[in-house]
Amino acid sequence: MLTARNLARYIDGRPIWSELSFSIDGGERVALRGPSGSGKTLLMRALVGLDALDDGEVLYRDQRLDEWDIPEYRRLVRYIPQDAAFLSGTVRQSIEQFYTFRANRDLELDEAKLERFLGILKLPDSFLDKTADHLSGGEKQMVAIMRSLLLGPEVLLLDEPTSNLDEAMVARVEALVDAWMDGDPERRFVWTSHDTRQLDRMTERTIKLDPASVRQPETSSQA
Amino acid sequence: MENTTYIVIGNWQLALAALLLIVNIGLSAVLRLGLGRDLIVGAVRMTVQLALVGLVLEWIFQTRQPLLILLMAAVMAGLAGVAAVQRTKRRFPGVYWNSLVTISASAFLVTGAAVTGILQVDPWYDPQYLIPLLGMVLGNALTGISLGLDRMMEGCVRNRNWIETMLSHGASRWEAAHEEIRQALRTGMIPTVNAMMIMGIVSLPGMMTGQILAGAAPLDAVRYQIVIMFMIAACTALATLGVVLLAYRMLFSADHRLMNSRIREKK
Repeated sequence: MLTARNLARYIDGRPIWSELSFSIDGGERVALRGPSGSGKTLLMRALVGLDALDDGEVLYRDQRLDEWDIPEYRRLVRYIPQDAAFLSGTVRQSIEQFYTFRANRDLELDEAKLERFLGILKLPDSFLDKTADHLSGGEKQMVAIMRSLLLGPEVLLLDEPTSNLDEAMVARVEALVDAWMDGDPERRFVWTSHDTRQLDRMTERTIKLDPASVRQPETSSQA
Repeated sequence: MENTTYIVIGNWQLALAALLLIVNIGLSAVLRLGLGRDLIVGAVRMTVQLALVGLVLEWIFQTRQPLLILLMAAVMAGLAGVAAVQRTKRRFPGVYWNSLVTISASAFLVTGAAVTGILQVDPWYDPQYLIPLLGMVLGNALTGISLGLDRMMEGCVRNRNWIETMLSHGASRWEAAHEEIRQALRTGMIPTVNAMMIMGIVSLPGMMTGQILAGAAPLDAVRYQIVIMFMIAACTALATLGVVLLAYRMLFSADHRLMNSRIREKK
């Protein structure tokens, strides 16, 4: 269970979201909806501890975020940002880099799985020997999602995962995430998208960020 | 100073030397190159600063008070620590303290080891040795610190996406920062390493030249130059490492988060 209790985040004293609570169980497919600027990205970053929370707590497997060894936690709860980033070397080197981290020390790059994922995404093997600056924005995004899934996380936080993709590519990424979900009943994801039909298609549940309902914190003194 | 064989420079000789520059300033004015102002300001600043330092040094060399000498050393280290930060493009809270602590610690450690252990100066605070050695070590450590700090902050800002991608995939803060730290250290050490590479071939180092002008045998001057280069390399490496590691602790929090919000552009 990934649980958020009373989360709040302020920027310059203005609440972006507050009193935000939800929990996400194994197997769930959750949409995170809200208008631009409602803090969807900030929430995802906060859930993996890349940003600070101003209030509330995040729990995973009944353990608070500050009780977790953060690299171990992030191995299980994985945030995938909208802008994919790479090393200056080849795509394969960018993928292999993750296996050098201590938190992933018991993992090994599974070539068969890599092969299968490349197949689902309909990307040729030669892809891995290219440098990232030879990839299109859409290709980068697909590779970024694939390399994350190879590490076998339990929770995926996908921030606009198909924003740079054409229609054919979108279907393949959706198929890849479906295949990953089928691998283990503990797996679950949160997905943001501007494409509401995609959210209807991919998810079963919604967490809504509604700026109109955000209350001013009681302790704040407005100047 | 029993074997001083150098020519003492009088005031009219100084004026003659200034004439060399005045000719250039005149040329700049005639050709409207706009170089005159900078040259005049630079020349005046240099002359005034050196004259003042000369007076202070003259006084300290005469009194030979260890406390005064140490005070002078502390002021030099303080100025170097501040100057190192002032050359950087970005800042974070506490950056001045980081710079002051590392430059003082590394310069006093290296210079202290040199005057007591290597040169065995007696007394150890003899300003004839302590002050010039410290000055040279500080000047180079300053460059290493400012280059290292600049590269570290630049790297964290420019490579933020990749650093956070690594963190998101299970990297500890040390694993995520490692490449930036490596690059910052390398950048900070480049001038020192380059100087050692070309020393004596392309450039005759200033200190050695000065000793030769003052009548020292070239081979003796060379020995001093070798010792000072080892000191400079050791101190610059130590200072750059120290300041980069302190920056790392400030820019990567203990809960493995990149704290780029702490970096401010210099206004």
